[in-house]
Amino acid sequence: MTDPKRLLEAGTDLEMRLLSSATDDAPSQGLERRVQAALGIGSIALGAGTASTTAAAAIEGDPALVFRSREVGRDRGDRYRGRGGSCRRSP
Amino acid sequence: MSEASALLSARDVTRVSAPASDPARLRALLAEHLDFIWRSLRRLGLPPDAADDATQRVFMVASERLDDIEPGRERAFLFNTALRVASSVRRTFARRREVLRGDDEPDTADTAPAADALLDRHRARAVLESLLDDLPTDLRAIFVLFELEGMTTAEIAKTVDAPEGTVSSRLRRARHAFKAALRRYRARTSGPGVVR
Repeated sequence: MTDPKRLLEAGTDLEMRLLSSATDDAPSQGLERRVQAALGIGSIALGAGTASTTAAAAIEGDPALVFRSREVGRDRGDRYRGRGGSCRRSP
Repeated sequence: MSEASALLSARDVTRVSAPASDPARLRALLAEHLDFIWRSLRRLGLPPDAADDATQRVFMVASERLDDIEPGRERAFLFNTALRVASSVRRTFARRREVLRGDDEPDTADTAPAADALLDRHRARAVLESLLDDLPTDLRAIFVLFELEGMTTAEIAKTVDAPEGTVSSRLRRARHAFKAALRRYRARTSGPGVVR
C-alpha cells in the first residue's frame, strides 16, 4: 500500500506553513530527569519528607547530601522536587 | 498553580512510583519514547505545562504495568495511554472553560488571528491547534502521527492497533476534515493580504 505524500511536503503554502510550525516542538531539557525521579529510577529522587530526601542522597551515593528545591511550592503548588533543585552538604 | 498543572491531581504529580519491576527496561523506555510521547500530547491539544505532567502520568502507568507490556509493543502501549490521558485532561479543560466562560465572552473563532499574520510562527501554531481541535480524537491521532510525526500508515497501524486499511481510511477523513476546517478559518479571516 502506497502512502500519500505528506501535506508538509505537498500541501498548499498555507498548509505547509501551519504544519511546519509544530515540527520543532520538544520537551524541556529537565523533563526526562523529572520523570525519572518520579519513577524512582533517576539519579535524583523526589519526595516531600526526610525519608525520601535520605533515599535521594543514598541514590547519589553520598548520604550527607541534603536536597533542597527552589521550586517547592513556587509555581506548581505541589511538592514535587527534583527539577531545578539545588543541594548542599549538611554539617 | 497554573491551570494546566491543576488539571492533574496532586497525587499524580507528587507521588513517587512504586519501584519498577525492571528499572533498566523502564529507563530505556523513557530514553527512547519520552520525546515522542510529549510531542504527541502537545499535538493532541495539551499546552506545554499540561503535556509535562501528562507525560509523567503516562510513564507512571507504564511503570505500574511494565510486566503487561509486550516487548516490541512499548510505543503502542505508551501512545494509547497518552491518548487516554490527553482525552481526560482535555475534558477537564473543557469543563473549566464552561465554568469560566461568561455569556459575553466572544467565541475564540471571532478572535482568531488574521491569515496574513501567519508569518508569525507562534500564531501559525495557535491556528494549527485550533484546526486540530476541530478533528475528532481518533482522526486527530492518525493525522498527527502521519503528517507531523512522519510515520507510515503501516507504522501507525501497529501503534494504534488497527488494520492498515482502517488507518488509511481515517487518514483520508482526517485530511478532509483538516482542509474543511482550514477553509472555514480562511472564510472567517478573509480580506486584503490573506495568505493563499
